This record gives sequence, C-alpha cells and structure tokens, in this order.
Amino acid sequence: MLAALKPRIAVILVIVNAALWAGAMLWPEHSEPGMLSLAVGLAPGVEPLILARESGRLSSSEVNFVEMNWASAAMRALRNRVVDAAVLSLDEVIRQWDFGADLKIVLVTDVSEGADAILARPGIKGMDGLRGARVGYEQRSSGAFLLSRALRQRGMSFADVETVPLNAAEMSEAFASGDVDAVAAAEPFRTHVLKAGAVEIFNSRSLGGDLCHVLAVRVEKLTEHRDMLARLVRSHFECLPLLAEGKDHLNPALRREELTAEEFKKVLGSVRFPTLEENRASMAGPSSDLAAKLLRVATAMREEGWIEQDIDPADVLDRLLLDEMR
Amino acid sequence: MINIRSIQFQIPAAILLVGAALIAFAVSRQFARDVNVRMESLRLDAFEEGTRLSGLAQHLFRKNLLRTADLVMSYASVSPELELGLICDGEDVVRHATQMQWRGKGLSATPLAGAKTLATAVRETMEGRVDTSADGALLLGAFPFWDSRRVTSKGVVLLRYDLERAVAHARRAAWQSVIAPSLALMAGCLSLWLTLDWLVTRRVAAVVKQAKAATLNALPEPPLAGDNELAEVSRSIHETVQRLAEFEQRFSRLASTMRDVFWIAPAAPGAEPFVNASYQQFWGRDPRRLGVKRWDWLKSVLPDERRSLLEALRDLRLHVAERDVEFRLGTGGARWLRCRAFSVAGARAPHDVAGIVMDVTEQKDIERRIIEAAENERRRIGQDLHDDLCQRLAAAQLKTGVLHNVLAQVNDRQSALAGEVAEELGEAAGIARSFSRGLAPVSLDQSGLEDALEEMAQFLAKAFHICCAIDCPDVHELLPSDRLVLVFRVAQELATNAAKHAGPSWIQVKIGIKDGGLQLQVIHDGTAFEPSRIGNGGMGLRIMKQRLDALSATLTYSTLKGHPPRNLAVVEIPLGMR
Repeated sequence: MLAALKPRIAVILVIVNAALWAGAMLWPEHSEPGMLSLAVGLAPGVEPLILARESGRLSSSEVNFVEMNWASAAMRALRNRVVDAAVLSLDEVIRQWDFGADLKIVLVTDVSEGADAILARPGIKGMDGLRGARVGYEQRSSGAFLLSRALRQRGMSFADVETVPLNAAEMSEAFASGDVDAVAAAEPFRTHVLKAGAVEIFNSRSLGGDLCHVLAVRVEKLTEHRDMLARLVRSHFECLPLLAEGKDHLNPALRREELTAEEFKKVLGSVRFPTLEENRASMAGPSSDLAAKLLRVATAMREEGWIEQDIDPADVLDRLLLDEMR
Repeated sequence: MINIRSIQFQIPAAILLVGAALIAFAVSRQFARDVNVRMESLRLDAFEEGTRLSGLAQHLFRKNLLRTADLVMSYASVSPELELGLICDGEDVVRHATQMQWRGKGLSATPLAGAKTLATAVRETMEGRVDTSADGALLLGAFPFWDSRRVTSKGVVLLRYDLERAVAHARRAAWQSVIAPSLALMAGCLSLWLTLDWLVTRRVAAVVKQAKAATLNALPEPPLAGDNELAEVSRSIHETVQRLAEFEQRFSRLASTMRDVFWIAPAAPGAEPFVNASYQQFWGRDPRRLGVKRWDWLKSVLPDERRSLLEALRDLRLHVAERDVEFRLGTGGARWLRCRAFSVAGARAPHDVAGIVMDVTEQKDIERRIIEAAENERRRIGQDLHDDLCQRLAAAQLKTGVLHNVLAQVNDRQSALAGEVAEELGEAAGIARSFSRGLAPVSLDQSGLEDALEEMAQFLAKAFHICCAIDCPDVHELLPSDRLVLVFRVAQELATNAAKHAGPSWIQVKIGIKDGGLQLQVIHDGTAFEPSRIGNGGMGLRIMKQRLDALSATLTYSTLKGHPPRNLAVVEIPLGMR
C-alpha cells in the first residue's frame, strides 16, 4: 500500500543522508604511520630496549632498531630524519637542538657513573700527563664533552693536547696500534681499551651525572607514534631488572657489546638506570634535576664554542609519556 | 513501514546491490594490485640493496674498512621492511649485520640459517638472486662478492624482507578504500529513495487516492498540478471520471423515467443491486433494502415460481445468454411479470446479470378472457352441433331405416341402398356427436371430470389404438367448472400430443390431491417430450400454456427410470386461485 513517509522520519532520513554524504566526502585517505625507527648505538643504556626486542615485547614490525656503531652516526641519522628517535647523550641532544632539530627528551635511559672515561698509556699520570699527548676521541659526541670537562677541571683546554678524531669502534685498535696515547671511551669500548693495556685517568663519576643518555624523539613523531613510544618506554622499565639477572637472555647484549658476562656485570656497575619515579622527578619542572643538567651541559658546551643558542629545558623536556605510566 | 515490493524500494535496492558488487570487485582488484606492486617494489629494493651491499662489502673487505661496513649495514637497516641483513665471509661467518648481536656467529646460528642453500647457489653462479619463501611471507636475497682476504673465498650478502607486513598494509588500505565509496553508495541510494518518495510515491499515492475516491455521484477531486507523467495520468483519470459521471447521469435519468423495472445484479459479492424507481411500484418494497438483503425482492414472488426464477438467474451467471421468465408477485393480488434477463459478458463467470421486468398482468387477463371466450364459443358450437345437427342426422337415420324396412318388405331393389344410407347417416351422426362432445364435453357439466376423461380415453383408444387408463377422483367441488374445463383441456392436449407424437403403447392420466393442490399426471412409455418446445411450439402448445397460466399451474416433464422408462408430465394446479 502506498504511504508517504511521516515528516519526522523523513527529517531523520535526510539527516542520515547528509551524514552519509559528509562521511563519504570527508573520509580520510588511507594513511598508516610508518614504523617507528629508533637509532641505538653500542652502549649499556640501550640494552634494555634490545632485550625488549629480543623478548618479543617490541615487535620488529612495530619498531625498527637501527643499530649504529658510534654516536655521531646516530645523531646524523636523527638530524636528517632518517630515524624518528635515538638514544643519545644529553650533550649530543643539545648539539642537535642547536643545529635546529626539533627534539623532545622523553626518557633518561641511564646516567654514566664511570662508564665513560679517559684512558691513557700506563706511563701517563693523570690528566696533567696528557699535555702534548695524542688523545683520540669521537668528535661532536659525549667523548668530546667528557674530554672537555676533564681538561677544564685541570685548567687545561683542547689546545693543550693533540686531538685525534676517532669513532668509538676504532678506539681499542687505535690505542693498541699506538696511534694515540689516550682515548675518551665509553663502555663497552672502555673495557676493550682497558684490555688493550690502558689505565683510567678520569671518568664520568666526576661529572656529577651530567653525562647521561636520553631517548630523544622528533616532535612530529611524538604524536604520530605516541602509543608505540609509550610501549617503548614501558618496555625499557620492564626489562631493566633483566640486566641484573645474568641469564641466557643477556646473550644478545653480550654479543653486541663483545663482552663476557663478568665484564658486562662490571660495566653495569658503572651505569645507573633511573627508575620511573626518578625519571618523573628529574623532569618535574624548570628546577628539576634534568633541567639543571641540561643548563649546565649547555653552558659548558657554549664555553667550548660548540653551540650558540640558549636552550630552555621546557622546550626540550617532555614527561607526558612518563606520566601515563602506571 | 518500508514496502519491499514498491518501485521506490526496488530501484535503490538494485542500485545498492550492483554498486556493492562493483565496489567489492574494485577493492579486490585494488588489493591484488597493491600487493603485487608492493611485492615487486620490495623485490626491486632487495635487488638494489643487495647489489649495492655486495659491491661495498667486496671493496670494504679488501680495504679492511670493517667499521665502515658496520655503518653501511646500519644505514641498510633503516629500511623498515628489512628484517635482517648479514654479510658473511667465505666461511659463512657473520662479519657485519644489521643486528650487531650476530657478528662473529656462524650463519647456521642466525635466523637466516635457512638461506644457506640459497647462499650456496648464488656462490656458484656469482649472480645475485631474490627469492620468495615457500609460504610467501618472506623475501630472501643473496648477493655474492669476492672476499679478497682469501683469493678463492666468496662472501655473501643475505637480506630478509618481511612480506606479510606489506600484504597486511595493502589489505588495510583496501578495506579503508571501501569505506568512502560505500558511504557514497549508501548516501546515493538513500538520496534516490528519498527523491523517489518525494517525486513519485507521494504523487502516485495522490493519484491512487483520487482514483479510489472517484464516484459517479459526486464531483471528482481536482487532478495533480504539473506537467509530468503523473499529473497527466491524474488529469486523464479526472476526465474519465467526469465522462463516466455524465454517462451515469444520463443513465439514471433514463432509468428513473422507465415505466418498467430496470435492474442490474452484479456478481461481485457484497455489490449492491441496482433497480430503478419502478421497482417500488411493482414490488411494493423499499429498494434500499436490497443494499442490505440482496434477495429481498424474492419474498414477493409466489413460492412455486421462485425456483424457476433462481434457475434462470444461475444459468445466466454461468453462461452468457438471454432468458425470458414469467412469474407472479403475491403482493396485493396476483401480478404477472415478464422478466427479460441477460448476462453482461465479463472475463469469466460468474457474470453480472441485468434485465427489464414488465407488467403483463393485463395481457394475461386478456389471454384468460380469450380462452374463456374461445371455450364458451367451442361449447356453444358443440352444443349447437349436438342440439341441431346431431338430432337432424339422427332423425334422418331413423327415417332412412324405416324406408329400408319398407323397401325390404316389398323386395324393392333400392332397399339395400336405403340401408347403406341409413348406415352412413348413423356414422355421420356418431362423428357429429363426437365433435360435439369434443367441443362441449357434456359430462364436465353433468357428471364431472372423470367421465370427460373417460370419453377422451375411449376416443384415443379408438383413434390411435392406444390403451388409455384414467384415474380421477371426484374433484368437481374443488374447482369451478370453468377451471375444470381448463384442466380437462390440458389433460386432453397432453394425452393427445403423447398419442400423436410419442408413439406410446399406453397412456395413463391421473388426477390427485397433493400438497393442498390438484395434480394432473400424464404418463406414457413413448418418446420423451422436450420441455423447451413449450411456448415456442405449435398453436396447441401455446394455447395449453395460456390455459396453464389461467390456472396458475406449472408443468414439468420428467422421465421415471425403469424398463421401459416412463415419461411423466405433471401439472400442479393450486387450489384457491380464482
């Protein structure tokens, strides 16, 4: 039987129709965020993340670990947008920031308490003995920062030594071959150089924790990969306890760092891994610990002429991911 | 509620189904295309990367630039599809890898242990190759290079790409691509449905309402406005209804001025019969009652005559035909009506029936008087024959007989002649007497119907040599003489017809009382008579019908089963009719 639509139903249908047309025209094109790419070097601070990958907490289809042998390569990759995030030292982040890279620090992975050191030939006594010596270090990296602070504490400068640019992986070979008298090396390369006969004359314990490593993320990727970054941060804290267990699951880390289990255990003794609460506290406002470190490190770098701009910790630090952790 | 059989629903539904099928087809093709494109792209990337890395590896191995090789592998791992890349030396020991943990390990200890066969194959040909795994989930590339640290050593670059991710991405893209066109399709179909509702369904509903509301007794509703097809249909309906209304008015005027009753009995159940104003004059009943009780008119018809009427009506319902039926109304004295009815031919039975009913009472009365007058005249002639001619012939016969005796006594030659004349005169007198009795059955006036019938039986026996038996009680007090004459004449006609045309060996005439009326039966064993001939046959049958009408009697023919079968003509004569 023919019957016209009731007015109310007709109005509802017209609204539904308009909504369907709007949906059809405004429905976004398919776009998927690319895989999060994370540059990691060879350092004890990144091993929790490597363990997270090896244990299946982080799928290789979700996070692409770009393993790089030395820090400057990771920095370059981050600055050139080859990767979305990287584990860098605080001074390296400041360098990128000064270059114009828009980065956010979302996590402190570790604090060097002796994992970074100045290692010299046995005949060299202390930092004073380095005057005129050939000192190998990785330019534009934490090694440069360590050497700078070590020299300044003794009233010296880079002019007092003969600098030899090296990347971290070359340090033990260069020392063993006699190409350099001393090196600024971070673990695991510190252990390799010590095995080559070097003695430690300065280490990062004297820096008061200013030499730390952080997870730095490009700002635009912070939104795009927010969930994945949150899982990354959570996995870091979940795998921290695994480092101390010393079981077979550490084998990938040992192979990466080319250390024995004993050596790795000793290395872990020179690194402090802040907890979640310590992370939150270190980024709690402009007077926080990390903010103060950032300013100190930036000041030191500015004195060396490595950076030109001032840095505001509020522009760099982002603790939202940490706050979402429960 | 949505009517799924309506055009408004079926057109958009058909478009929705076809559109959905097209979208599904397009999406499936796009998915297949995307997967193929992606896989081909990965294959190309694998080949390019593998070729580049194998060239670099050969150079870097020769130059012993091991750290550089590590960096090269680091940048190779930037590709998200590359799951794992290894550079193995001639002994299949991993020297460099995208995941540093495999450095120094044998190929067999790595996740790419399954590529050993492929590595061996490419080392033989020294040509790189990219293969898909058996399950289609992985892409494996193997690219050999010369490990110049040992002259005859061949290293190999092994790359593993994840194809499942590419397929999953293509699948998600395909699903995503379904949504917008599906929304557009649903929106389009809903728009079409709403448009059809506005432009077509509503207007069709108005046209249907206009058609249903159309009556011939009132002005039709104004047609739809506009120049479209539905407005044209509406205007056509309006004009048609107007014409039909005019026709109805002319018909109503004609029917209302007719003196006779014009009636229409529709076959559709519940349809109200039509009668003009003369119905109430004839029947004395309110025609509006027919709207409630279709058979109200039948109550005025004499009960004995209802059956023939109903049979005629039933026949007209089933067959396209015409029938003439006469019947009487019992209201306010007997009124004779003649109905000329005909079927209104339709697609199939039952058909509508219509007709005209005329008052033929006066005509019947005239016929009755004619019969009476004819009967009186017949009696007068018969009486005159009896009183005059028969007496004269009897006297002449007597005188001739005397002459014969006288001449015989004198032996005159003419005495024989005189005897013959006397004999012939006697025969003539007998014939005259029989004519006289046939024209004026004396016994009806004097000794009753039985005697008259006996005389008739004797005449039939003598004339046709048929045994004729009479069974008749004394009924002279039941009917007046003029009606008894009619009864006799009917019996005479039936018996004579049977004797003349049916060829019976016997005839029986029975008179009896049944159901308060007089019943005449003429039974014989000859050929059956066809009832349809009555009224349309010869003069005798017509006159017999007139006599039956005058008696208000009914005549039926039947055949009684038996050996031989007996044919029966039964006349039912109501008593009390005057």
